[in-house]
Amino acid sequence: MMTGAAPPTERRLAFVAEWYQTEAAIIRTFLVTYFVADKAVEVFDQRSKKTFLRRTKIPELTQRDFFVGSKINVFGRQFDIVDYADESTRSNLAKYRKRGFVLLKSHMWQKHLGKFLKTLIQNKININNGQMVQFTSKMVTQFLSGKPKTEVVSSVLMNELLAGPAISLELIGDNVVEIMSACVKYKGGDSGSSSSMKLSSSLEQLFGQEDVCYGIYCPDTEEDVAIDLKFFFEERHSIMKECLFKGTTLAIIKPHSIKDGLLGDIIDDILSNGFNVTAMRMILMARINCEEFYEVYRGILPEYIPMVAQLASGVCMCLEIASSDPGKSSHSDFRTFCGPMDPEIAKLLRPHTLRAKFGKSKVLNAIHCTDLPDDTNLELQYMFKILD
Amino acid sequence: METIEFLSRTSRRNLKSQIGWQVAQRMRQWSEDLDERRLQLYVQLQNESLQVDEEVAERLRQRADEAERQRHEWIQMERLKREEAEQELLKVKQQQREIENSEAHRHMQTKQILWESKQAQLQQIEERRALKRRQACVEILWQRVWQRLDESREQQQQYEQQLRRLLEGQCQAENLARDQQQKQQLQQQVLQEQRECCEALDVAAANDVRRKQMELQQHQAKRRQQLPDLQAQIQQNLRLAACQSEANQLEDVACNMREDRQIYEELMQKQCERARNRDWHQQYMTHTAAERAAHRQGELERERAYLGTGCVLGQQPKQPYGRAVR
Repeated sequence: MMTGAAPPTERRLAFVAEWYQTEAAIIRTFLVTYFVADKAVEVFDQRSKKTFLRRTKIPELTQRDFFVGSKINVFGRQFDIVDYADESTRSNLAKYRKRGFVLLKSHMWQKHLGKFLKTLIQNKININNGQMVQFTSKMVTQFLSGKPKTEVVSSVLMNELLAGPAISLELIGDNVVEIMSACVKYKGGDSGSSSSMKLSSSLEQLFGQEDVCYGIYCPDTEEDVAIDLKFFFEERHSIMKECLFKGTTLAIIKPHSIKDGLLGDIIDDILSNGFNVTAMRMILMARINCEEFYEVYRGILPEYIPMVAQLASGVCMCLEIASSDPGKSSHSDFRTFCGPMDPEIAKLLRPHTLRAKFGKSKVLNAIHCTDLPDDTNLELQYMFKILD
Repeated sequence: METIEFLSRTSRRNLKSQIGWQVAQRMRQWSEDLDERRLQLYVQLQNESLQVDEEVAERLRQRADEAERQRHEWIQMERLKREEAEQELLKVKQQQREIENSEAHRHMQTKQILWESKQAQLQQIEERRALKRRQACVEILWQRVWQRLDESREQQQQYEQQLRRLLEGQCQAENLARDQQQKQQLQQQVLQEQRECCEALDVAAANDVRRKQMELQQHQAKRRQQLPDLQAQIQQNLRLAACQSEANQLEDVACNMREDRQIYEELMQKQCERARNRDWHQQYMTHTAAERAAHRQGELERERAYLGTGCVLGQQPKQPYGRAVR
């Protein structure tokens, strides 16, 4: 979702996309065409053979948002891209937009999550989906079945996964599977590494640390990646970690921050300022859900409509935040840490807050946090339970 | 059976209405809860906004105070510096005044001035001497230069003279031989030119004679050619004159014929008109005669009809009689 160096620009990109029409409870198939030159989108209904949306400029959508498996938001409608519509798009994009998977073990992400995400984003590897998962022994067995690992490796991995919550991430990037495999095999600058892949200095620096290198699991082949992605993000089982709902608060990293590549920086800031992440998920919200979520702000804030539009414009990262100090109130502490709603005021009065560092305007203020103390549970339940 | 159906329907209706009521109650409760939350949020945001405004105002006031304080400090510092400078100046002036006032200082100052003036005079004398020495040196140098120049000129002349003599002795024989050769060449060239000139004149005379003969021949041929041309021209002129006269005669004949026909047509037209007029006149005369006869006949019949009845049929108008008529 972050903007990176795009592949050589083509005139247009065509995809087959699906949209779930709630009124009729059917999945409709569309042909979505993205015009690279002027960042315009055209949607054609394949069933009725009519233009559903004529060529319209949507500046918030970039070329890197379009790949098989991505979810794009066009005026509040969520389209799931399922296939390439023509051979030229397939040949142009298939080699650039590869999907990868990585699982961060609990001891690793609690220290290095922000730095890890930051390094990936710097290396043009985008985070397409992510969630915090809590394994049971049954699920670990299910996950490890069919993986060609030795008994020892499997048992070690099982223990590590059962030790605490892990974070599963779906990655998108150029040769992402090979890069991640090479990173795992790097192990602090081993010259005997069999991988021919040349890593960037930032990746070498990150994976040179032993706890990072041993703290992640990633599959070696594209087939394994597909299996793991299906297991974590498509199959409906309760692998996602439950929220605590007690002494915690909700934070949503807004789509504009994710698109600007600030996800790693924001999470790094949160974790290094005495806060813990107890649950996490990435989600692309439909406009109606955004309106429902922000319902309490209707009539209170004049920026209600642009706020809804911003939240619906792309994927956002939902975090359940708990204070490291049990005696403190997570809600008020985190709200203070986020700073005033207007980044300009935040820069003037609280220059070390998140909104002062990463915000741009009152709507594009980088992060949403629960304003009313009584609403924390409501918002957490809405994000982690109701929206599924 | 009907009773059972009635009861089941009634219970279903009751259940539906109960569910509807519960849903409405929940919705009402939810909207009330939402309004309550909105109110809380509004109050909280309002308080925070006020707090932020106060903080901003405080910050701005602090900045203004800080700026004011810095300005005051700067003014204070400047004043102190100026006062210190003034103090220093006063001290220095005081010292100068004290020194100037003292007698010893004045005596020493006079001596100093005298000594300085003497030094200046000595220096001027020294400078004049040095200038004279320099001028003498320059003059000597110039004399040497002119002397050297004269010597070099004499040497140059001597060398040139020797060289000239040598060259004259060597080149005498060569010059004589070359002169002889040049004279011979010139003589040959003159002879050659004379020959060429004679040949050219001969050729020109021959060409002139030939040209005159050709002109004469051309003139004679032209004269011979002109005679038949003139004869042919005369013949043609005669033919043209004959044709012209014939054409004129034909045209006259045609013209006369046209005029005759025109006169004939006009006469015929007049004759026809006269005949037409004659016929019409005759008809008119017969018609009027018949009319008159008919009228007379009618009158006679009328008179015959009214004869002896005492009716006045035709009354002559009274002739006026009086002086005016007379």
